[in-house]
Amino acid sequence: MWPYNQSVHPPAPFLEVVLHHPANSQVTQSLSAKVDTGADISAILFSTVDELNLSCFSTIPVEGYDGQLSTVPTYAIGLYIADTYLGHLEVISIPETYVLLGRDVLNRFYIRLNGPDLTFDMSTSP
Amino acid sequence: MKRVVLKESHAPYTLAIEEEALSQEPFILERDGEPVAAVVPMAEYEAFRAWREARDREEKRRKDLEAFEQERQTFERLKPELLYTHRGQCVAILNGQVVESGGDKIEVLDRVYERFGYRPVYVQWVEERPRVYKVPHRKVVR
Repeated sequence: MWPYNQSVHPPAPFLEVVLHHPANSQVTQSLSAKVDTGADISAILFSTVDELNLSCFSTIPVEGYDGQLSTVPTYAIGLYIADTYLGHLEVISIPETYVLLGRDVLNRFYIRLNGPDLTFDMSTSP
Repeated sequence: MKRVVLKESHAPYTLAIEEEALSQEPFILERDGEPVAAVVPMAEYEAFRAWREARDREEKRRKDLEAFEQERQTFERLKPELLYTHRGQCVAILNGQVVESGGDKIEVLDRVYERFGYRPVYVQWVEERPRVYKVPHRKVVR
């Protein structure tokens, strides 16, 4: 069980994740990540692309909240959530200070949001 | 008869540096009247090294992006043909040709990295219209 991050308004489910370079699992970054069930694909920070020296390998069309369509580069990244290793993922990058966990990742978990208590739980078993 | 190679031994150079003076301007070392090196405070050297690393990273990123863009253009050029040969599959373009294909984008990419190392490559689905991803992320600034 994790507490919601109450430094954002309204409070939201965040948890720590570890990212690693797809070609070197020793090159890692620990970051805060927001559970975002509205996102089709997960996103990492612009700064992670720079600091881990990632190369884009594809492009995808992305539609934002305003319906605007743009083609953006995608990157491969290794991802750990708690003790669960999710392998390599295709992600986009955004100008944020936290990772976005989209449904490409979230659909691998059982997630229970307890809004009134501002806690949540994520696990690989029911 | 045994031959022995004699090596000339240079006398060590000594240099007395006052830290206060060094903080004001660099020391230029000269040999025969020509400047051969500069002695700068460690902090200045670290800043220079960080700048040089950032410049090198930026240069590598620029070259990688150019290579990536070339592979992407190759994919677009080959796409009409690929729609006959690889429709519904993912292909990896490297050095202007298809080097891997399959039904999973990340698996195709991992195979490329395994065979060729971590380098610019373009991996894409071969389909008439690409899937659109929705990422409606926005936050209210208060």
